[in-house]
Amino acid sequence: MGGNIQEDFRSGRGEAATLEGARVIIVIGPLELGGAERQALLLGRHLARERGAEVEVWGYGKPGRAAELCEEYGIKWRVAPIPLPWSDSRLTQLRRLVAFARALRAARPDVILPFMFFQSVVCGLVWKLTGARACVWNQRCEGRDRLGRRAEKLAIRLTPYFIANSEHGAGFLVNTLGVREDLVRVVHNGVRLAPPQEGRAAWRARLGVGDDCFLACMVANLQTFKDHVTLLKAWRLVVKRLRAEGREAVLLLAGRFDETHIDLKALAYDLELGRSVRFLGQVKDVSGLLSAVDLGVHSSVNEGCPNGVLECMAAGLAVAGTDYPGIREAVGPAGYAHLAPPGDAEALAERVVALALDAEARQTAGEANRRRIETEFHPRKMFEETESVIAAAMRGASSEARESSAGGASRGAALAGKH
Amino acid sequence: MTVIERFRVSEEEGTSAGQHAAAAPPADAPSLRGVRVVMVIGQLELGGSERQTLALARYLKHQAGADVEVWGCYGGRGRVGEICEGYGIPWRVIPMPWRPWWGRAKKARRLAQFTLALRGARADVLLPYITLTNVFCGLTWKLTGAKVCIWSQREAGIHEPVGPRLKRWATRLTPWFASNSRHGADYLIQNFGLDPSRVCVIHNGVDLPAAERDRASWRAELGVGEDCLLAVMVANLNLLKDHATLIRAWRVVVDRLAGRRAVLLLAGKFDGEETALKVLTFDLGLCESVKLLGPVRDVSGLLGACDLGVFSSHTEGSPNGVLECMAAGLPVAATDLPGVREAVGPEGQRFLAPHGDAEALASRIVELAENPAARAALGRANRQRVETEFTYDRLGQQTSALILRALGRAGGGEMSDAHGR
Repeated sequence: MGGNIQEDFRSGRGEAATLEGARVIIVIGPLELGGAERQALLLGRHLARERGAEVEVWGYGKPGRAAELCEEYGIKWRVAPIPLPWSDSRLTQLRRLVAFARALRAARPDVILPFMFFQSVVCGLVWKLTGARACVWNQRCEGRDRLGRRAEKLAIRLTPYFIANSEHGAGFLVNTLGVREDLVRVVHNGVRLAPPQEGRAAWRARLGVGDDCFLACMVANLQTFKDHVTLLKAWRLVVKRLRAEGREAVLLLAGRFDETHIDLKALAYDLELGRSVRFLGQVKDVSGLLSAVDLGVHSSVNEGCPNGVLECMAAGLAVAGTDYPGIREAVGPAGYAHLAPPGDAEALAERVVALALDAEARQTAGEANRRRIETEFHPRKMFEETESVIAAAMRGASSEARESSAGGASRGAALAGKH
Repeated sequence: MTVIERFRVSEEEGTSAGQHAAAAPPADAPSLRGVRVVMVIGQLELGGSERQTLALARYLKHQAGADVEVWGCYGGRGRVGEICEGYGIPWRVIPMPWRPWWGRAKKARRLAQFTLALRGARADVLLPYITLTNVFCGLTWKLTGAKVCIWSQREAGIHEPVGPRLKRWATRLTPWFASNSRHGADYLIQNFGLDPSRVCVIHNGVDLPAAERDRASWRAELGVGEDCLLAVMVANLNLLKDHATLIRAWRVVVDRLAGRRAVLLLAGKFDGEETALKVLTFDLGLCESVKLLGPVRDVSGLLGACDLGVFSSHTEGSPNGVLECMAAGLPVAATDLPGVREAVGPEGQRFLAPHGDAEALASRIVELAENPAARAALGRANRQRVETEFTYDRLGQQTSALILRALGRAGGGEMSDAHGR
């Protein structure tokens, strides 16, 4: 790879027009909607509409909200043979990888954009067999769902460029996986809230709470790496404290019922939070919901750059949450004061109560949050920076092909010849 | 700790004072002096069957004068072992792990070990008390030197840890059968073609200990006032019980009794269903109206604080949870199952609802909730029924009579066969 390409990559410079007519395959996990999938779909829509790329979204499992959104956006999607589950048998895994590579090759991609760790590893392993010109690893977390050192190492060696949506995600790539620092670029998530379908009053009426009720919301699917448990324990304390002040407090948990929702409801029962916690499931009108809320909360033990926090910030809400690198990066220095150590329900309750009792502080923090989203986490910024990485990857592939071709290398010629 | 700890009375009676008090047999008690009885249960932990075993063992030893031992087939000393020691009854565990998928050779080896252990005990009478030990003893008793084996049927074929062929074989080899309910007896006769004259119905015994705490104290701890309608279901939270229908019914009850607080108490060991039940309670918005208490030691005190017994189940032999409510003088609204019908008798049957029908169960509960006079009358009738039909003395006398009959000896008191004769 030429040094000029590297410079462009690191600086974010580069042409964006190279994707006109290019076939881009975005590989996500389940065809359900989570933070990473939302970003993938936003990017896909942008590449299709604004750059004229031919975008397809590949996922696995039962088609869910992600598939629905693809259809809304006019993006093709398919259930693809993503090699899951990762088998202990190397032969089985090899067979699955070959099937995946064949499927990709048949789709004749120019660019492969895997999102999340597992998808990035398997795409990294096979992309050179697919005829694609570039593959960009998208690191969205701090190393969940590891696949084993050998597969990861090989995938890293084969993948040309890496995007992480947070500094600590980039740190994981560099420090834990041994990726060259100059190949990793931090591109923050882009957040833009859709216009609300219903306003504050309508939402509160639907929830059966009055305007004087203190309403907090955590937007996150109910999964193991979120720490709703600590939040519920904290909420028990919050309810007690605010009741002493004569205020009712209700916590809304908005997110798909994944593996933890049964245990969380049982915990809410045990904590006698029947009236003070609502499990809303997946909410379509997140903007409307957030407009009805007084505070964003987010408790997690493993985060890249949590969309649940960013969305609350975009809605102008103050956020109390776990003091975790991804959340720190999201809220920025102005929001650090409202973060509590991981797993510390008492401390989290204190942060929530402090904000609950101080409307002015909430408003100030909310406004700062909204400004931070507009400068640091705007979708336009995410699109531009991602495109520059894709462009760099494609130019890198072209120059590699030219070099190989000049040297008579048949493999490089084959790569260039396809396109 | 297993099951609801309703056995506090037994713990107290398991002291030397208790033994002394039980030492004088009544004049009409059939004598089993010199007869060596081995009662075989599963785990030495307290459940409904184990409590009946203990009460019977105590009767046979102290009232009938038999030489009694209690054997478990797995686990350790448990609460049953502790209580046996209090009663002065020897106990032991002969490890008998058993898996339905084992091969014949392995099963045969296990049974041979079991036979050898029993042979060493030189028992005259084997009294197995759960399905698995019924089968073990049925298959092996003739090789152990015992003179008789009495199969004890506790339900209508729901627990089937052994295959049907083995069970059928065991029933062919077993000479006598005692069932704690008529439908349990019918199950044996109809499914295994038994001669009805070999099958007796001997009801469970119930004897509530004195309450540790009074009504006001319990209500204060539960955070409910005297005007709150308090209902209780005493049963472990497992798959065989149907707490889910009861909780759904309770949603209807709370709605219909609008203006009056109504709280449902679920007293029983968390036995695998508690999480699902908590979630259901949460989803139905009943967090403040349904309380999962876990195991309760002072069941008598708890029942004394309640206005109504409720019981929802998929299957029952003779439900102790219903009998205890009846013994406490509570009316009972429950699932209409043969075992429950037999327990509550003709007077209580109109408050039974079809299995799985939450609306119907709610209607029965509301009918009782709104009519204190009917509650009081049914409660009195229930207490009277338990005192005549479901006492430990009656259990002991009828079992002693059956043993004597099986041994071919004269004597014995009243006893009914499967046809109620």
